[in-house]
Amino acid sequence: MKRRSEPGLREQQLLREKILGFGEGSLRKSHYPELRVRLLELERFRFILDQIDLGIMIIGMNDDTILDCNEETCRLFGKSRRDLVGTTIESHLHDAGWYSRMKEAGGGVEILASPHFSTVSPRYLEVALHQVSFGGDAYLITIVRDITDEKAASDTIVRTRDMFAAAFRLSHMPDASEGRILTEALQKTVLLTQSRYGILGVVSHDERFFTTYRSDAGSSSQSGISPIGKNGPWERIMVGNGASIADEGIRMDLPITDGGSVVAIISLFEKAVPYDDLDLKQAMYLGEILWQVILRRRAEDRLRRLNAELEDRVSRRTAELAIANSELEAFTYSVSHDLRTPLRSIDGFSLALLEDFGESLPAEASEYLRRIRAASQRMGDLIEDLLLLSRISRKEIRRETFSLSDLAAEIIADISSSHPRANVSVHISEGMFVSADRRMIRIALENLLGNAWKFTVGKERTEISFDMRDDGITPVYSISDNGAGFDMVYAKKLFLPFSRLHSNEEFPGTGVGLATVSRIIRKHGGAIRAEAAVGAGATFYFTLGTKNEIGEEENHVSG
Amino acid sequence: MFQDETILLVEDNRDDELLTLRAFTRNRIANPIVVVRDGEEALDYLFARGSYAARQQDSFPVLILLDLKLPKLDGHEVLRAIRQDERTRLIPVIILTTSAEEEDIVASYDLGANSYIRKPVDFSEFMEAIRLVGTYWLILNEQPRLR
Repeated sequence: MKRRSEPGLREQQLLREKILGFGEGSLRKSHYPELRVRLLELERFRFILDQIDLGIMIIGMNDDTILDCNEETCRLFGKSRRDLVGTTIESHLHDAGWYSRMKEAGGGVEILASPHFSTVSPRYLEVALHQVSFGGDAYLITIVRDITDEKAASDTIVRTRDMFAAAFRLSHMPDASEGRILTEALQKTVLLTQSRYGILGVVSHDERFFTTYRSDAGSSSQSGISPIGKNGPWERIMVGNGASIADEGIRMDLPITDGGSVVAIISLFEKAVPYDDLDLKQAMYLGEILWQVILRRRAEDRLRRLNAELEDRVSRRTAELAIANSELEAFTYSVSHDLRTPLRSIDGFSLALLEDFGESLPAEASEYLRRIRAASQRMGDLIEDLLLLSRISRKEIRRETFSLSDLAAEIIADISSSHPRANVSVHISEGMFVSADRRMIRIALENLLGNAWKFTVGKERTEISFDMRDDGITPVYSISDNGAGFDMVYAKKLFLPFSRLHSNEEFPGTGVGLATVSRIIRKHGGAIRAEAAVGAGATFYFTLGTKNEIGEEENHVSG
Repeated sequence: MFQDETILLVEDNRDDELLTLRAFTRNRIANPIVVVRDGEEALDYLFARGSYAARQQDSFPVLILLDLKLPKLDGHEVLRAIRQDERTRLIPVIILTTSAEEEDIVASYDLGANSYIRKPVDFSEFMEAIRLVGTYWLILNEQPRLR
């Protein structure tokens, strides 16, 4: 009691001296204006304090009585200054723990959430306590700062960051199934909005039922399928009620729309505090991201299915082709064997007739038998050439590097020994190296050079030349002769099997040779064409693929 | 066991048989020729079984002319059986066929054919081929004496 009254008394005395010193005591009017100035200063200071948005209180160190406070303090407590001044601070606090803690520590700063203060709306407060002493007495000054708005702003930043993290995670689940993505999205939304649980319903294509998923913050699962009825909360959303917070803030419903119609609904329940606009916006945003991810996943799935189907079709088609190919092989084998056998009999017995009965046969009969033999032999040649053509079509090319010049020289040597002729001039360019199938190219050159030889028969002088022109990318080879040539009108027919531009009497042949050459050239990725004029010889130009292509194929074959 | 002068001709086509025999005759090859019509009969003859059970068991042909496309056992199977048996594995076998397929030629040599001759359509050429066969395999070629 003494401790409490002593400072009170002194205080009064001091105050009295102050007033007496300038007023009554002195009775000197000269002090009066001075007094007014001081009073004005005091009021001005009070005004400043009241304008500050910090709650400031002076509390007696010994009895915890609020000695004075400013307007902001009144606002924070929701009370008038009269209600506060002279009462103890504890009587206004729900929880005075912070006060005793800081008092004991001789000061400090703490952030308190209401209801530490009995304020009206939930606030966040930063409370600082300082010990001061003046006039020989100790006081506590509390400074309270309302940081609710600041905290809301920083919370928004944190939650927005969390939302983007969730959205990013959602859009980076490359191997997850649609169900995984949906449950993950629901769980993220539940966590982000601090809900107790959430339910997600995906509308089926025929809009007859929802596929539902449930998440309780910790775990998520597909919970089933529910038919779309008439009057449930989701059905009301289906017909366009939009996103809403319902049931006094403990439920939030969010439709996800695609092209104007609702494709899914997320419902969230029981946040510790009512849902706010930020919750709604963020959940909506996640919902939109989710749907984009789902659409992308569906498109990818479709593409994967299509690819699988395509692969399946290709392998089926390949198998069919393999069967067709083997049938064709069996067929050509059969042709090769069975078609030739009777021809041999025809030829053989015709010869036998000529040999055994030739003398008793009339000359005409012998002539007919010779024609029979010639025809059967010609048919044998036709079969032979056809077989070669089909064999080349089936065969894979095997590239090796060799000299085209040497090969051509060998072929010319063969031809000139089997069909010798005088006055021949053959020019073959040196050093023409190629990467090609040697056996096939031999067949092609035998045909081209053989043709040049054949169609120059009867010329005074046979001139054949084999050259190359290289532009650095695709070497072009040419084989030219000074023979019979042909009319360019028929050039297109040249490379078709059985098309002949000359009669068999004039120049014998089956008409399959150039078709075979063309097929060989094409198999090598090259092209062939001819230039000619009747009586002025012919030139065949061909390529065997570009240098690049050849390089690649070579690697491919060896690898 | 001894080698007679017989030539075994395995040929299912009657025309070809006749023409081949004609070619031998006209080329003055006088060896006796036994003709069998399918792969099974060929092996029956060689190993003296079936309808050839009465044949002298230790006598073998000097030369076998074998077609590839045959009823029952084909030429390749016959050749395999010949090469697998101690008694017949050294007899010269000449494949005489219409096929010029690479696979047939390779398979024949793989199985131990001594020669592969394609029957040409032109009978004059065929005659020439038979003449060369007779000259080479029956006159020039030296074979180990069979036990």
